[in-house]
Amino acid sequence: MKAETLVKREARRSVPRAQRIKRNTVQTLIYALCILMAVLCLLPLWLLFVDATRSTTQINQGMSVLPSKYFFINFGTLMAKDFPVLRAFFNSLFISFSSTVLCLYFSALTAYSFVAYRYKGQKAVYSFILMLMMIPGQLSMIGFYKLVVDMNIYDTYVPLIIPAIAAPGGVFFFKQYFDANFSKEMVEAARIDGASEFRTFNLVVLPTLVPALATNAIFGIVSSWNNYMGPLMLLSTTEKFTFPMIVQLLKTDRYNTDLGAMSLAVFITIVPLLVIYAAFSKFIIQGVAIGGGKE
Amino acid sequence: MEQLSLEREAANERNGSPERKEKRKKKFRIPVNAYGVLFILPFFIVYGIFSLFPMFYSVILSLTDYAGYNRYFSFIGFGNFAWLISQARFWQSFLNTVIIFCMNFVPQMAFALIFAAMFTTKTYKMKCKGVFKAIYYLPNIITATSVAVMFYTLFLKPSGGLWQLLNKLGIISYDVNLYLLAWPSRIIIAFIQFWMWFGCTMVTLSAGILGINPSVYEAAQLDGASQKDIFLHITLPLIKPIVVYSLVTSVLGGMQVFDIPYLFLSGGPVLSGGRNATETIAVYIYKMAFDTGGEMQYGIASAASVYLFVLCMTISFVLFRVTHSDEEKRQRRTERKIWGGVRDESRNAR
Repeated sequence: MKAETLVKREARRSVPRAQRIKRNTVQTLIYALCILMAVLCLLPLWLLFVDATRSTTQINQGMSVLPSKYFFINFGTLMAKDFPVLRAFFNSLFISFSSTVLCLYFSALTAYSFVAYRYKGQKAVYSFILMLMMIPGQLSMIGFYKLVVDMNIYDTYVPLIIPAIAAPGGVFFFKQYFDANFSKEMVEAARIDGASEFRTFNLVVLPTLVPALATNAIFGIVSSWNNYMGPLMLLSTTEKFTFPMIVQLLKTDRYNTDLGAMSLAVFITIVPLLVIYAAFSKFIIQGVAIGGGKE
Repeated sequence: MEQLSLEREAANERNGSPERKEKRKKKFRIPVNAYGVLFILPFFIVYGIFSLFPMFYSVILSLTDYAGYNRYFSFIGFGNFAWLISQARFWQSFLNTVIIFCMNFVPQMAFALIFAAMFTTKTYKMKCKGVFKAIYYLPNIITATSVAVMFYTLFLKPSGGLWQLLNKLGIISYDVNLYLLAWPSRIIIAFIQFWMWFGCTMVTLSAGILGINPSVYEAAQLDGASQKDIFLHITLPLIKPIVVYSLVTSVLGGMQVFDIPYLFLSGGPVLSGGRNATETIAVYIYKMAFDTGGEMQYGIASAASVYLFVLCMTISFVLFRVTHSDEEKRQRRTERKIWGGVRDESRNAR
């Protein structure tokens, strides 16, 4: 241990002094830049939180980076205005969980079909799915709206949940995962044991997918939670509104007058995601990196 | 279990009764690979109903005069498409989309490259990389609607914190309301986009850099290449595919940007000077079709969405063409430069 530190110190000394100074300055510069960027990323959130703890007069007087003590008063004001946050929270929770479960299961199933079986046109079908990822969602928007109205499922959650079964991005993600981790032997062993193909997938293959499922689940939940345009277009009853939709209500005059309470309301809408992020940031960043790691 | 089934099979062989043989044949009649087709069916059925059909439906509607609460509509040919081309507002929305995208993407890519290079360099050891990455990525997962309302309150005159900051720094005078001016509103929206997407691009790029074979760097270092040279002549050419990937996804996303511009100022400053200065194509489509008190011009909105589709397809096709045509050749050339003609087998194997 001691010898090691000695060797290290010796190695450091052998570097010429000028070079050492240069390296130190560069390193400090890098840290300064990183911290500056981090401040830029966090400052708006922090200012919002601070505003949530201040009264309207304080907010009008000038900005502050230190919280004040009006947090609970603002909370009371907000509750008195009947801010439908809790209902919207559960609505969003229901939609994002059910659509994510469907999306995960069927994406994995579709991707499984590309690695476990061989049939004609398989490659073409997969490229077709990849191509679908490129199509802008706006193209189907009006037709989708008309279809939903025609099918009499307007103002229900059906058109927000069922389409999750067909997620080209999810298929792509699982295919990537299978390409790296699929073992044909295991599936064949299950077949010899007499398991049907469905059972093989559900009981043998699915459990091996847990890491990919976890990563994809977080992304699915977050993106479904954040979806704004779909619910905005398809829901009309206030009781059915999703979380992002009630955020939009905050800009209306009803909430606009009390700035502290409004900031608090916006902050409340951010909290669930902050909690999720605090717990899973590692998976999330790894998941993003998968997109970049593949060429 | 296995043994049992084997025994049973052996017994079958021994018995050899025609009845049993028949049964076995029946059991094996469905070829295993048919299940592959069966398993992709749910995807395609749902996709067909909820995505493919609506797409064709949109295209059909774009040829009709479908509007308002009418149940019936008639075909009017390409009238909607022609009408859109004559509309200054439509062209304006297209221009706004491009302006906002460029103002956000160019600095985003530049900063992401610089930061990714800093995070992956071997000579300077950085601590807390994970923490920094987590902080940079954080804005990306927050609901766009919350982000839009948050920045709306922060840049609001005179109570917003960031407005006051700009005022104190002397960048804007006290009587400036940013939301009434065209360019400041655009810049703010571009800044919000930058704020949301910088971390994502950065993480993607650094993953790409980390994926480069480390022996390439070792070789370069042995040859005495400087940090700058390594970045410019090794890292950049080798992560080009990932840069292209980011470029394509960003362009497609940027052309369809809706949440932030719609929620921030619902398409632009209201005053005549900067009218619709932040109205992107997607916002235009949405307002045309659904906005309360709007026109409910479904036919025109679908025509606009067809334009958007053609635009996106053209862009992605051109981008792939331009970047993929001599991709292989150039990569081989780069490798030859580095390895002096010896191909690295491990790279090929991957």
